[in-house]
Amino acid sequence: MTNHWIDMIHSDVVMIMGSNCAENHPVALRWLQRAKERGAVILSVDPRFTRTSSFADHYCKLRSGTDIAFVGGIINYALQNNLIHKEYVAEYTNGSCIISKDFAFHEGLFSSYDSDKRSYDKKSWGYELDENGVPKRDKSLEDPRCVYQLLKKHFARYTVDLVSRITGAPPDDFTNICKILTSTHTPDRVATWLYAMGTTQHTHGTQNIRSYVILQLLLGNIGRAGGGINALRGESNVQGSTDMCLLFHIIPGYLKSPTIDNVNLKAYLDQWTPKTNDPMSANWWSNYPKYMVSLLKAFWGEKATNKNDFCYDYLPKRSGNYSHISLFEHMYAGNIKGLFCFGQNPAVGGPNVNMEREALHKLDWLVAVDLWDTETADFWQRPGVDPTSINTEVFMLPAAASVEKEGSITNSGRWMQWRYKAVDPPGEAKSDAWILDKLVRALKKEYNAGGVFPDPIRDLAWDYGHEEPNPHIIAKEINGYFTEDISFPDKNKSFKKGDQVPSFAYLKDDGSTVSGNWLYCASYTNAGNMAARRSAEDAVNKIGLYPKWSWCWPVNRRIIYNRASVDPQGNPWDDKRWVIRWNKETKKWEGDVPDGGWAPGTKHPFIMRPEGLACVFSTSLADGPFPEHYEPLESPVENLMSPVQYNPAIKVWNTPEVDNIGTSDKYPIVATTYRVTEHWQAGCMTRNLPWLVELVPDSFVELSTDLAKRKGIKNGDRVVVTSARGKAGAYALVTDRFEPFTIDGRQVDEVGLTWHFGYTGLAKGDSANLLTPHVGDANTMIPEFKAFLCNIEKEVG
Amino acid sequence: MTYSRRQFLKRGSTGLAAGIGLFGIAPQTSSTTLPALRTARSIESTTICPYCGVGCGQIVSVKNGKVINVEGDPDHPINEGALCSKGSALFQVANNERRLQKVRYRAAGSSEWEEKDWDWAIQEIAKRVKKSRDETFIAKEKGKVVNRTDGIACLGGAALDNEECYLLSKTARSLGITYLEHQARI
Amino acid sequence: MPKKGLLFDLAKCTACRGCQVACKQWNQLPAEKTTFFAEKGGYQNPAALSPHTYSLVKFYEVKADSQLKWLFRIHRCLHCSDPACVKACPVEPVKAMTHDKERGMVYVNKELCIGCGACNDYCPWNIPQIDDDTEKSTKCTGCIDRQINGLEPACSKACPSGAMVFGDYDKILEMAHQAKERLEAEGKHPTIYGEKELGTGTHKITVFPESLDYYPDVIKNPEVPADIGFFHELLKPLGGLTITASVVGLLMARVREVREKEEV
Repeated sequence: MTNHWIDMIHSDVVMIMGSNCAENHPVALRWLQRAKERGAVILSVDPRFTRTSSFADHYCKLRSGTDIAFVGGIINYALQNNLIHKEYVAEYTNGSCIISKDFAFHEGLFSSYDSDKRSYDKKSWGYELDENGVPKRDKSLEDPRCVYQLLKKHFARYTVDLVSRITGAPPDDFTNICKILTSTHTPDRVATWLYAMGTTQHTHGTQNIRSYVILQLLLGNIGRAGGGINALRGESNVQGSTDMCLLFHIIPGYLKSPTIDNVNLKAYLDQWTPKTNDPMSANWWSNYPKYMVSLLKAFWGEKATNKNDFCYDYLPKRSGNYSHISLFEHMYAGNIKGLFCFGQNPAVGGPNVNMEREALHKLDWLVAVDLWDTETADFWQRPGVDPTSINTEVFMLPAAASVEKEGSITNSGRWMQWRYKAVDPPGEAKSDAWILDKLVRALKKEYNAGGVFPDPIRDLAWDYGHEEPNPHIIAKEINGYFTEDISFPDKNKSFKKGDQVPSFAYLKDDGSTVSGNWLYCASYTNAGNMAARRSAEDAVNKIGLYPKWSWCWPVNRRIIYNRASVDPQGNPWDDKRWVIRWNKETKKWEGDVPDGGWAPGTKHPFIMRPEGLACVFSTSLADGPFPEHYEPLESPVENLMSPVQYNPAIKVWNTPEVDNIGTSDKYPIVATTYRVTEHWQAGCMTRNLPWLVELVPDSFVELSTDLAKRKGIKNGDRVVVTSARGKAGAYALVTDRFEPFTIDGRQVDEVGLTWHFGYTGLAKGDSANLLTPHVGDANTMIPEFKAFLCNIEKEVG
Repeated sequence: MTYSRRQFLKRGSTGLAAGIGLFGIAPQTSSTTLPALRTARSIESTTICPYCGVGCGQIVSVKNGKVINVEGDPDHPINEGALCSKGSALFQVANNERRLQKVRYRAAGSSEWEEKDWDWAIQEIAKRVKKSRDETFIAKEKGKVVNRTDGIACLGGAALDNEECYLLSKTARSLGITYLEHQARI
Repeated sequence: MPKKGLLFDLAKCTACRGCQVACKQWNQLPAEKTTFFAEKGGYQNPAALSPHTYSLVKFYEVKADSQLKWLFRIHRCLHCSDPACVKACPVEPVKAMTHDKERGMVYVNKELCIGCGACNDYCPWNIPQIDDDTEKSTKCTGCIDRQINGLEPACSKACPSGAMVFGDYDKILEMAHQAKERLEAEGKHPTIYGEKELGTGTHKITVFPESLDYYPDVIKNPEVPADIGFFHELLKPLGGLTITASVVGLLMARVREVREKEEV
């Protein structure tokens, strides 16, 4: 989230698209309700009328997988009717930047496309630079090659009529949403955008988000109280685990994991440290080397010196894509020997679980760490398989629950909050930290006796206490400390060896600082554990920032991009709910922690971008500078927008017999998947709790009254849903909350299934992921869980 | 609102209101002189809900080493004491006969679990990690140093604490693991 | 001490069922065995109130003027100002069904209760449920144990969206009327339920955002069975004897006999 939960109270319009927050984030409704009482209008756009839609003031339906068409239509509406915050767009976004003459878009493809490689080389997407190497701009937004004009041209094709024919949204409902949302283009109004996996889990998920961002930038809504672009994260610490970068392409603090061509630290830093020639650009990532060296120091301690590239060679170098889908394809091919699962249950939660369960057979060993039996750890005894034919060794390690250990988690609003241990874990269960500590010690022992390239393990800095690892020692290392006495004359500060680093502005690239994650630097200082703070005191702007409650990255900044909440003179766009403002007397910013302390007008506001401007036009995504509507990989209709049927930059896997793609002759119905309030993710944490099982005991599929009638299905019947990958049994919930769509004059049905269930646990059932495809987004490889093809029939017998 | 929920709760509260300093509430004993409240004289501490990403505060009451009650933390600025159905059910995570309490091992081709102790399991896992890593380790590819193993994969982390996630990243990268992924990808 | 009340401003309810589980959690009530969902139109479970379920969220899927609505309500004891269940309770001299007049809450004193079921029979909504295992009447207590210790009920504390508010009865009633005005201004047809029902009202005040026609199982004009006096007439001769559930059972059988005759 750019903003945070409480901040929603300030919104005038709340757009909920790709999220069903009433069901998946129920306490968010506390703040939306208060926004409503202030007069806010709540919009819900969803294929299905949900508990969120019931709460909303206006609902508009759309067929799953057509967000870009829908939002493209709103962008077009804003541009055609000049409903934009022009000064914001001209000053703070790259809308004013001039793009290369070579950039073009034709028949569904952007320039620089290589159809053999199914990818863009992006060479024609660059900015036109002036003689100093700074992007050329036209703040009047009239140059035909400025981003704004290119945007206008691109989205002019997204007419109300075409949007409605593609999405199935009734034109009146759609236009109503356009009107309400674009009403926030004035500086005295603001809208927030709430999204979640309904947006991301598509082959064009990243571009779905891009479409939201572009619209929010045009309306001038980012950086402001009650605004922003807010991803509602579904797990209590998925924000923190992402910050700690348990993902193949990044290492803690969103630093890139090195690639094969980053042959040494210099080559690595040269490639990933962005450069700018614009004196107005803060280009915060120019500090990259400080963060990287401090991380290497945290990993390998005293062994990491400037003489050995700070042990840079110890880090693995990637030469491909190692994301979840690739991982299971690789496992299915028999190339992975061992798998660790720390509280993750891919046999329920992964895409195409028939394939992923089968892939587990190819492992030599599996280590599952969990509170409960999981479908993944039980794969060898799942229904229909013969255990004696499976040669995988499985270790099931009992883990401690949240109330049985101490440490921090980071919520969706980036608040790092401390939890205390209330009781001991049951029996011999242990915390994940204890397990990792024991394992690393055992591995060190093994590798001290020799082995292949033992150095990274042998030299790993690892000393977190004698018996139980101390979470405070770890948290202090994540924050970072000085390895020598040091003074900062420019800041008039000096520190002793062993002092905690007060913030990432003090990190160094010479080995004098350790920091396991620069983004968390300032969370555990000499003043103590900031995440444990509990002060109800608000900031001077009284907008519910609660700066002394817990701690928030970065540097306790509660609303990021907040330099865009003021005009170029430093005056808030909206005095009623100001985030920061420039005090002319003190020459300082007041309110939230600003995105850098420079005086107004001296730096561009989007400090993490090398151009300093928010990107209406992206030069770096895999599938185009602007979002463009493509159909999901499996769709019952042809793309009405262009001859390119689906995202031209996605990787389509073709592993025989398991990666089948369905067609609408056999599977004419659109399917989507989702969660319910009463269950959580792959289900172990809820399907084992009797109170929650009582509420939702079985997997179910929701279908329209119309489709049910045609199929002879009654509410409560057992049905079988099939796709090209498999079949799932479920109870039929016949409802008017799903309606057939009229797509280009033809009726298209959609059904929705829960994916929480499996063959282990107190409540059992089929996961919707028996049906979902093994295909991912062009940029992130997140699976297309949200739109695929199926059929549904009443269960026989 | 005509009255403050927080004030109401603090008036007769079970000890929590008194314990709030600059830094949070580690377990401490509550007290009450009034009869019949089943949380009386329990040890209370604060926690954050382990389900969705809202990050609601909760108060855990413990008696005789057992969690006896979990409810919303009225002082928490996001949820102000409220909880959804999942958050309200956390009690049953802490008190649940289905919780795993012993290390278990399933041998190749076996049809059942065997109970094991930690020392054995950690040793055996370490041996397998070493064997798999060393067998699949790629020191160089196309003449360039890559120092990685594609033979071991690691999933999970969104249910772990930050400190644990950090240790997991540190461990996996030191082993040369590139197939390091978790729930955020899916 | 001012009397207490609970407001259910259902326009704000999102049916997250935090209240339903918070009730089970605080009262340590076991889960019930369920299959699929109990009622069409949503996710209701279990099917009805029971000795293990004091509070139940119900779902209503309705179409009006081609507009789809998904409505919710919370079904449980209303805590009558003049509770028939207490009147009906045959346990003397101290009633097992207890009316805490100070706070306006009604709860079962389990030490006194004989599990006869008269409370259920005379409740206009048949709320109290007899637990066959313990032979006691059960129902929402208004979290009386929490209230006397200065805590609000578990359900209202849990409510995320502010649909359920606990407070002084007068203020709750005022808030109910404010909610009604707010909803009328939005063009809805709200109904306040609990202010005047049974003449003296209840301490649970519900503001339905739409006409009661959309909630077919809500009793529009609740009434206490008129033969409550007759029932007491039957009880009187037993004055000095220990009243047991089976004795009351016999008397209730007699009451029902008369009722059936009258209905014919």
